[in-house]
Amino acid sequence: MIDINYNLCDVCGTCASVCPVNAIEIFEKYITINNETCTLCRNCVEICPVEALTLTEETTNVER
Amino acid sequence: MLKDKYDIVIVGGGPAGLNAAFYAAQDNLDVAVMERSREIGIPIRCAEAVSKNALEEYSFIDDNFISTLINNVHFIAPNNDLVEMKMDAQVGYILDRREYEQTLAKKAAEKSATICTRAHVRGVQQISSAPKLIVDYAGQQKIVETKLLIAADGIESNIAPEFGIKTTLSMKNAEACYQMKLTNLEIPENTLKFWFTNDIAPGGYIWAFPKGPHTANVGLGKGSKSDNSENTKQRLERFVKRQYPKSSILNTSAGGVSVSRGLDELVADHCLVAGDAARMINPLTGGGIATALWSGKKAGLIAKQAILDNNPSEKFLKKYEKAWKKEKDKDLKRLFRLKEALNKLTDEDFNQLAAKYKDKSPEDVTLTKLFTSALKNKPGLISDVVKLLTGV
Repeated sequence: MIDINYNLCDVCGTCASVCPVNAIEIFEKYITINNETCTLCRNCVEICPVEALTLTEETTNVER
Repeated sequence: MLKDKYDIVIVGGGPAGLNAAFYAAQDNLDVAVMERSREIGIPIRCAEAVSKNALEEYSFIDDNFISTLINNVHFIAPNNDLVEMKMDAQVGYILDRREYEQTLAKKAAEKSATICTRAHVRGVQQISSAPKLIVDYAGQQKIVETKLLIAADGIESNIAPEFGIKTTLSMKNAEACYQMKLTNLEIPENTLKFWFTNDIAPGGYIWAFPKGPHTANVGLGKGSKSDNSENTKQRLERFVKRQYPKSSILNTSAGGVSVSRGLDELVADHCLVAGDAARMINPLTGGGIATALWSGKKAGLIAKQAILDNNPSEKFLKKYEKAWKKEKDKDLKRLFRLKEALNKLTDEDFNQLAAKYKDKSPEDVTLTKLFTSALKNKPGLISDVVKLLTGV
């Protein structure tokens, strides 16, 4: 799954713009990622301007 | 206060959404803007530059929201050579976006639009003759019915996909930016500064836009498919340390920009998409305020007509898509081609270009000349430059 570092995240929404399945929702002060729809494509991880998102290796959405 | 039913709901209280509200509102219509934030005009994820023409044509100008008048540009090459250009014919402004959006909101409210802050449209429960929206408002979840929705929810664009309009950006067409409002720095008044260097900003550029004495928005955008060894924030920090070592940071913000050809589809039954959400951003500069205002005005007027004619169908709303194709789409695609060509320039290319123009008088430097020199190996693109800059 994608891990969100809330201390780094600026809630800018750039991740959501490249999410092919609309799994990222932007609230006023935080973001959420829907693990049910997330395909682990890593677009959000790559584009985040502050590296607040990481793909954790120990879990996949199959094992969720 | 939130009602249960509206004629038009606009999701997002930025320049596109507020301008849409202003142009859609009239006494016998229920028009609401739903803004997720607690205040109109914040947070600001923007360098705040806009042309005078765009404000005059799609909005209005008032001194209370103008930070700086711009009539001069500095382009700085990787070797620090500077090319200066006067732009008397195309002056621009650095806005105070918070003040500007609050003014837009007041004007829309005066025309009977309702502005709702802390109203977060989470999604659409049902698309029928009147779509039902799920709205988090004042700590509660409410269902709000609307005949028509304008999705102006910015770069994340979560709402239009619920109506079947695909807005996802490909990685190639998205750029991440980071900006600091810096103070205690030396920056010429009335001047936009741009640095081009593939070392710090590959596939993008660095900007410094003055916000009054000794203060500026300094930011960096980089292509998302470029070198990822350093993130966008780290790159800007490296630049500021080098260029403005004595400055202090007043605020920081991250942000995303579309550098795409735009969308093919802008409407569906009961839905129009506008502004950043519709990827209406100049892919060469990353500027989006002008097109946001254009689209807000058009979407607002067409939405109002759709409600008055009781016809919020995709077929009727296609008028909006046609207006985009006729008035803006060709320029956006030209800008995209120029962006693709300029992205291929190396630091050595930028240095050579600057060497050619650095000793010229600022009055003799024009964008047409600069582009023509920069694209000397791509003569096919020169006609794009001429059409863009002359409107012919």
